Amino acid sequence: MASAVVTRGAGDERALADPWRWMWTGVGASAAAFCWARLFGDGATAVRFLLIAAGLAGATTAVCLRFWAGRPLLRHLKEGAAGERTAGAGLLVLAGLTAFLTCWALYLGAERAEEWDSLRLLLAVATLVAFAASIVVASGPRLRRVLLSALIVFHLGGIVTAVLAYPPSPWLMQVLRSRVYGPYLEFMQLSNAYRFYSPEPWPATQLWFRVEYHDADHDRVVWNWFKIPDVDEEGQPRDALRVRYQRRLSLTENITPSLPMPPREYRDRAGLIRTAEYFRKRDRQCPEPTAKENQKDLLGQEKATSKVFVPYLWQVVPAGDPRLGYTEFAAPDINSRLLLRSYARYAARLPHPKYPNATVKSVKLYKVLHRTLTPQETAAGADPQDLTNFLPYYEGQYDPQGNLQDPDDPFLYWMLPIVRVHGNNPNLPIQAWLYLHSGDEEHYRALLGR
Amino acid sequence: MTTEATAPTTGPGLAPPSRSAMAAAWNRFWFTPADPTVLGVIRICCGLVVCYTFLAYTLDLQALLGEHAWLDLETRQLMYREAPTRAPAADWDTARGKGLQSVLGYTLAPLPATPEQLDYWEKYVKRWAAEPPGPYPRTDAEDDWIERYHLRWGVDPRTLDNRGRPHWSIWFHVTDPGAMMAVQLAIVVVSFLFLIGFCTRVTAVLTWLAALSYMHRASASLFGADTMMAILLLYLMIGPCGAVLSVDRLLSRWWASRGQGRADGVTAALPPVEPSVSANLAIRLLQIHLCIIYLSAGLAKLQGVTWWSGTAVWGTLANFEFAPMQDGWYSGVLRFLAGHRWLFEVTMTAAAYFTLFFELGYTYLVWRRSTRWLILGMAVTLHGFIGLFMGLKTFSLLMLTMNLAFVPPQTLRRFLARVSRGRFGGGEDGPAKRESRVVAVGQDSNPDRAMSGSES
Repeated sequence: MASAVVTRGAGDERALADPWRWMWTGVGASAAAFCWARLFGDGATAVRFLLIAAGLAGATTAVCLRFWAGRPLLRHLKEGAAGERTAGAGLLVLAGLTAFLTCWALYLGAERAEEWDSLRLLLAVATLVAFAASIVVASGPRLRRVLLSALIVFHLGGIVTAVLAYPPSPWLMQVLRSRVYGPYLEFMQLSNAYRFYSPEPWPATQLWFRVEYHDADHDRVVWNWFKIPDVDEEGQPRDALRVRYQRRLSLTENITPSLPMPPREYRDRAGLIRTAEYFRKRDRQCPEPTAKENQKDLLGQEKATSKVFVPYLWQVVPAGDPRLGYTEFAAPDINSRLLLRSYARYAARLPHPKYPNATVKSVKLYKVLHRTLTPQETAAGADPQDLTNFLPYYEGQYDPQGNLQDPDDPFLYWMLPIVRVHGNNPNLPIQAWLYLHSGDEEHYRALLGR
Repeated sequence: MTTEATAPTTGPGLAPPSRSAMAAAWNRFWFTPADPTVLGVIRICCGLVVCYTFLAYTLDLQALLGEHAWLDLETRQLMYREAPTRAPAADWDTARGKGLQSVLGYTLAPLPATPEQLDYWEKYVKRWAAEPPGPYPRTDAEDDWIERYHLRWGVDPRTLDNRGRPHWSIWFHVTDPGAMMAVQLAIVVVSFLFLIGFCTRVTAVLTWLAALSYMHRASASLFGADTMMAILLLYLMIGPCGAVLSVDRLLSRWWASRGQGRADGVTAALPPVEPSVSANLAIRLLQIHLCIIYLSAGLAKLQGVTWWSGTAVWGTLANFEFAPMQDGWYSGVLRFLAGHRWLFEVTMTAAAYFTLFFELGYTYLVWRRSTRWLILGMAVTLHGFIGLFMGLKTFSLLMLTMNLAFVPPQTLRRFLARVSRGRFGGGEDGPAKRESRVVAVGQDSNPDRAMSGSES
């Protein structure tokens, strides 16, 4: 292979195949980049990055020539005389040095520590890997086996830890996951616990956005609904590539983690039973409130804060309805809230399809669970795309910067039911409180047949 | 390469294995040189999916990776720079306190000693309904930062062990649309070179770096296929996956021809495929990782009620967003099944138990020659169904690719020789004689003989 070229090729080929020349070029370029960064800071950035690129390219080429062309690192553990091993290890040490210098060439002081921070992390890890690899290469066959065995045990230990540290998990695994393996698993993207469809398969989630615009040309408010994943009226994905559709489904799946539902009532310091604030607010907007404080026949009736009144699902469907198996309040966890804000910002950048000059005022966001039909319903010919099989939860109204506009909204994180009036016959009208809440009163009335 | 379980060395009437025997078995398992053909086939299968996936990112460059993507750069940077990390307390009673503090796992602030501290303490208790952790903020700026962090992440930063995650990506730093497209095109080219096996040692590393760059940046749009891709690319990077079925191999013949000074246009014979320890290491790691994946998936399902009641599979087959329910024939089949109770129950129960048996049994049955083909057949069936009826095509293809790690190289060579009409797998392109000996010895149940063979 390349070794043959080295011995038999022309002089210039020999020079190109000499890893040491490449390596010293790499070390020199990265050292120059490091000095440049220290001396001139941000001045002439292009030169600094050119030197960095040359440094990395030189070191990479050298390592490849040494360990790829002709002498694979692990072809045989007994291969290579001590001199060759030392040479290989030396090359790796220099490669580590190059990565180290490049890492620091990207650092311009504490005030600008966030610039290129993730690539500096990558280079720092590359430095460590190169130094560790140099020890493996320099060692004799027996020690190399021991070192490789230790690495194997460490790696597989990490995989097992990622699996066993998934809650509920033993304390030991939590400690190993957080204190030993966390950075390794996160860095290598190996932290998955592989619990596919566990403990139960769960229905998919969609996100429905109602973006409100101000149309300055006509001085009016217009709006547009759009959904992810992007599907047509029949539920057929509009994305030509399945993987794109799948990625959008993942966007919605990532906002499903919810906090546990807080108790509806609590006992105050005086020992009196009180209704929790989140429930009392929602209950006030219910045509038939259930909390004592909100009932009309009691003096302590609190005032509603919204003009929209929406019943609970359990008040409008018969007992035994499969939809009752879903919680009516699901507050997203911290991570999901961050994602929702980001999604709202993205939605706020989408132009109105008819009025491209209209500016976005706000985005109302609904997380919509698409219920899986039971076998009985399927046998009876129920349509999975029927609107009543969607369970929408209000996730808030956001400004174009992604700020939640009213954190005290009584419906925030509550389900807004969609049901058929007086039964489940598909010919019956639909009462979709979702549209009443979103501000689409006309659509609400149209579905209701009024 | 060997995929056989070693013969038992302990048991009734047998002496316990000596330390040297165990070490020899370990060495034989991990460090016997192996034929890299399996890795070559895995590289091609995985490379096809990787190329497709990377190309698909081109269409979504701004929507998934851009500065204003669905998960925008600002949010993603917050996540990797600030996300809270809290490890469990290392002891019942931490060094920082006793009683309540050991339950909390962090230090509460000492009782206020100055009017400022008292003021801070009272405001904190009123604001967060909890006592403040220590220490008291020294400046207003620090106080503001703590307040903002607490509001954003729902946790006081003073209670944490660490903040941030070791995530990295080129897309955190390259945000100009033009530059992004240039990087993206370079990545697609690299992944193609990896697929065809050109400079494979380099392109394997670069493809792995590119894949992780996507994953760390677009963390909200990942799914199972990404997880499997990260695993496969990691092990393909370790092993010589470009040693066979690659442009590298053709180039080595060309180099050999040049070296022999053949000006007559006659190409040199392909040198035999060199078995290598790194090939064995990569395949072994992949095999064990795959076993962990299936066992974890199977054990986790045992927590679910529907897996015990046999109705879980219905939850996947009738899931509108994943299953092809827009197709009339598929909905018709589901309706037919649901309309015949006996048929429905038998089918769903069998499918659920099939899944559980496969996932729980894989780890034990795939290592035995007598059951390996059965379990690999089950893998094809399961992932075929997942790909066709649950919409996870790339995931299924990658899982099947991982299962190739258990296919003996001789079988793959025979298959390749058949499909290439004898141009691959036999004769000049066959494995080196040394490897044949290793495989033969590797299947020997005597570890000592295996070692002597592998080191000859």
